[in-house]
Amino acid sequence: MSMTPVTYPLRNYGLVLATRELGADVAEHLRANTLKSGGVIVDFCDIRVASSPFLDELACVLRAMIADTPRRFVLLANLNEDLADTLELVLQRRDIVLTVVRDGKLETVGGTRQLDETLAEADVLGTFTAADLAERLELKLPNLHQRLAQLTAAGALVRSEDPSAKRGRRLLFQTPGLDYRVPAGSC
Amino acid sequence: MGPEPAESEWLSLVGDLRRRVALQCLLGESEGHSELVVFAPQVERVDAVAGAALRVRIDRHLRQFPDGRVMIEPPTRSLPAEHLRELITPLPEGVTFGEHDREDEIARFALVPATIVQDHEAAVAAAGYALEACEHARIADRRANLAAAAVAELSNNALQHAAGSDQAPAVAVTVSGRERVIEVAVVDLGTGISSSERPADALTHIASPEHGNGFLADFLRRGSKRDLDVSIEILSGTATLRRTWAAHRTENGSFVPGTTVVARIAA
Repeated sequence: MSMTPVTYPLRNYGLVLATRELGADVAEHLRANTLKSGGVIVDFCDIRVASSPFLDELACVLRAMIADTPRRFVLLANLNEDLADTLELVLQRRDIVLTVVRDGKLETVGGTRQLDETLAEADVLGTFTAADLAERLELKLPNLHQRLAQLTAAGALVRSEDPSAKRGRRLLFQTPGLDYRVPAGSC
Repeated sequence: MGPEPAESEWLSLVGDLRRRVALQCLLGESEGHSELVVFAPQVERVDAVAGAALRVRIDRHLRQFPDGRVMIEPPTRSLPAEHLRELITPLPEGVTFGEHDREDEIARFALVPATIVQDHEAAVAAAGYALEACEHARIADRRANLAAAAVAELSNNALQHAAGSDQAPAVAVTVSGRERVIEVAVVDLGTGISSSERPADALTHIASPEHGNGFLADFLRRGSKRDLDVSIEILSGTATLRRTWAAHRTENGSFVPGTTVVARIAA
């Protein structure tokens, strides 16, 4: 599977996204149309309003998509301040964390400050082992593993076997490449 | 000899036609005549609830009498007449509003005229219209976005939960006063809450910011986070619930049919 992302523009459904019914329809189309893609960018460009029931449906399907296909990135882009606020309320209630691209940088929505700091440092490294990142953050490995698991479930990291490992099994983590970084002002 | 003139049902409206009074006056039982006269020369004030309730009454009447007519005699005073005209135009076929036809004028009070919402797609379309109207009225995005979401979700809630009635709900949105307070009103004729033994108890379980997981709770949360003065008012049967982020209060009063939700967004 190529890691090249598919951008899924929500503007095709209108500038106002509301009701649980529409959310379920959009989420199902999104899932069906991105099954074989190496990564997904859910693009909120031009969306003015997305209600909490709509976002709740979308978030639940995104969480399932990430869990079903953990070796691909799933990111959100071009959320205005209002959308980000509403999404945060929805995700906090569901205990879900998702990842947004803002001005070319990765941030979590629904995550803690520590999780964002971990993501920022991970992003500096790009591809890394848990030990690399633990050293950089001055954290013990068990503490870091929990954060790495959360970031993987948020669609911000993918992991794969490290072929250069000389003994046993070692995992390599990776953050999204430049083709996932929606440039500022692109919307 | 021609056919005998149809008997008319008269609804005489006076004074302050808002909230509970509007619902009681406009949503009572019909007398079964094909011609409905809404006689409102003495009406002094109207609100979004009055507009939505009148629209429901008109829709109910014209579904009962497909060839029937509705004649609205507008308020004598110019301000309530203008507000009512904005709320009720464009007029459905078979409905007249006084003598004049001024549908092309820009609405300053009714951001969204009273509109019947048949399904969830219509609810989203009404929200899109509300957003454009707010933009046209130069209402800031943070209030406009909240109003648009309220239009869609409150209408859809009414479609989903208005048990015991085949009448579609109506939504209307107004902006008024020096502070340009926005009110989104959705009126339905569902009997689930209004005919329950204790409507006040049923309403207290709705819209709790601490425990609720539906739109009403989110509306209050978002308003609070954005430093907006927002509140919810629900009228159903004999009960009224008023809720803000910090407090809620229920009151009992005289009976109104159905359930009406008013979302208020001040600056």
